[in-house]
Amino acid sequence: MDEQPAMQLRGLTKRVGNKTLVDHLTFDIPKGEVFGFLGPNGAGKTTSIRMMVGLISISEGQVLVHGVDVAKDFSKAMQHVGCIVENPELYKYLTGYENLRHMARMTPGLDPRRIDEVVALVGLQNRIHDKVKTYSLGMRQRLGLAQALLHEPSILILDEPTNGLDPAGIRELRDHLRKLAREQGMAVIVSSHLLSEMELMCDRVAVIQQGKLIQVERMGDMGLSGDGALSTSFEVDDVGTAEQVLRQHFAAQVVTSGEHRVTLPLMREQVPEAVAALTGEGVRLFEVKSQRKTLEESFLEMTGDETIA
Amino acid sequence: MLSLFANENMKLYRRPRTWILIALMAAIVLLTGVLMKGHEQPTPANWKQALIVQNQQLRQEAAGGGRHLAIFGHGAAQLEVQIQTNDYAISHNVPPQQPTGWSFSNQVEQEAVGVLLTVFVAIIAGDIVAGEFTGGTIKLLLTRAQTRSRILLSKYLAVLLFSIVLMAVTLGVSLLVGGGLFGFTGASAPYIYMSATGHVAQMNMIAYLFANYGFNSISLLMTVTIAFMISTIFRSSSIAIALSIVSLFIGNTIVRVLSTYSWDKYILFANTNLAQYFFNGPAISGMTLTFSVVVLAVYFIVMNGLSWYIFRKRDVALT
Ligand SMILES: Nc1ncnc2c1ncn2[C@@H]1O[C@H](COP(=O)(O)OP(=O)(O)OP(=O)(O)O)[C@@H](O)[C@H]1O
Ligand SMILES: [Mg+2]
Repeated sequence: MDEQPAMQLRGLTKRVGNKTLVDHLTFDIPKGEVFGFLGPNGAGKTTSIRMMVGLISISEGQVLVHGVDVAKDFSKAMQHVGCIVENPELYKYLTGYENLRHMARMTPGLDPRRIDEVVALVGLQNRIHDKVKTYSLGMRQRLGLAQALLHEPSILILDEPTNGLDPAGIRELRDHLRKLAREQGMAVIVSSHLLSEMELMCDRVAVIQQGKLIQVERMGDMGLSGDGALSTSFEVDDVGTAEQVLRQHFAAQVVTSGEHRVTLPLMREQVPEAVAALTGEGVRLFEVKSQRKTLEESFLEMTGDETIA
Repeated sequence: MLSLFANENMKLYRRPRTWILIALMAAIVLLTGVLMKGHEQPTPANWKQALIVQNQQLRQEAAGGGRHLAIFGHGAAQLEVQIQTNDYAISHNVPPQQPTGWSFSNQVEQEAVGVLLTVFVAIIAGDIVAGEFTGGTIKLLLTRAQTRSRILLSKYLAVLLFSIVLMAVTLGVSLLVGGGLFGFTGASAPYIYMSATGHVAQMNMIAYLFANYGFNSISLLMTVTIAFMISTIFRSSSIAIALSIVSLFIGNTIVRVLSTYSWDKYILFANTNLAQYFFNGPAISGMTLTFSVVVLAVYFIVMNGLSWYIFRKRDVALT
């Protein structure tokens, strides 16, 4: 790797009293990637993000932004970072435009014309001079995003950005983030427990639970992990025989659903064997489907379906 | 830094609350003026004669050593202040009870709005940091490329500017109302008083007016600092506003109750009224202007240092 990652976490840890909320997180987020931060409620996603943007102190470890330590040179590091932590925070008694001007004033040397640019980017032109207290939740999300993008950060950190957005809004945000990553090489970090969301939005996800990193995986590989078995289903004319044959050949749980379908977990290389066995016994085969586990399934598998830590 | 200060001012003056406080202050001054005008006693035709008689009695009293009026051990000087005030009225032909624009402004500051000024400023100071925490917007301020020290300083300066604005409005309105209702005469009339050393002294009415505001702004600054500190530590506007206002009202009582202790004079509120070293003498004997200034400076540095230290360290975790 000749290029430095946009953001690096090095053994990031947060302790409060004798509780460890975040436990030695280590991973890199390269430029141009949409990186997901996945975990059940109370996993420590928000706590990690708070450390990444300097809202809370770091008990142990480091956060590096383009190689700059956030704890050591906060101002320099934060020039590159835009974020929304939990909710978009806005001054409700100011107009949308004034909120952006407030934000702009905190970045020395920012061209005021940039404000109009981000307003257009998030599509708030018509309401920008209204007071924020008259905005809907979705409009507030948009304004929050405009605030975070105002100083042209190279790293964007969003904590549960889809909160309160309608399906169209979610889709729009998703396309938006992907575009920012692809076209501007921005590193985008999003946290969520909306698994299906992550599946569509992210290049890679880090799964954390009880403050610990379970694994970091490329999105496409996710379903292949675990024991490597794929859920394979066969559409047949005679489910009774099919079930019997498959039980004989494979030591796996066979499930019959409907009148014509049997399903069982198989390794990829076992599939031809199963087909041969079925046709050999005269079972007529109409369709074979190997399905990757959904992210949801592998997520639950990884974290177990226990309740909040 | 200037742009952060501009931000704080924008947030302050775009809120109706700030303007309500300013308008309320102006309204109270106006109301006081109107009420005073309404209750004005007609000057009796023989006021001059009455003063001459009073002065004769006072001189007799003074000759007898001021036994009956020996307050603070400076009875003679007290009498002399009254005699000279009367003499001025007689020789310049101005009825002493007749208010003027200047005396009105002084009276309104000392008896009506002086404390209110501090209360209003405490409301703003108590909310300026805590309000960002309750609104969650503190996260905006602390995740940009600005140090926490600068953010805090810009807020402190914005409160100071508001104090100055409110004081200027109060002074301006009281002069306008006073001048409008009672006329601008009497600017050259002296304010005759007993100095801290027990001598009779006098100063110009206008100078006295500014001295009043000047001394009040010292205690105002201390209340601002208290409210600001509590606001930063507890992140609750209501606690900050309530505690700082309570301290304003019971501060002097505490000092009086604890007057038997030798450390009483180190209490902040024993030192906030610097006017005592110029008029009438200190409430606790043995205290000097230098002593009070040093005590005030120590409190100022410690309280602001504490705000700064805590604000910089704080984990912004709970929403
Ligand atoms: N100030 C605090 N003191 C002690 N524990 C805290 C504090 N703040 C958060 N926690 C705990 O830290 C853990 C992680 O919380 P965090 O908000 O980071 O979770 P999260 O992954 O963002 O969850 P969610 O999906 O619900 O937003 C939780 O168990 C929470 O109870
Ligand atoms: Mg969270």
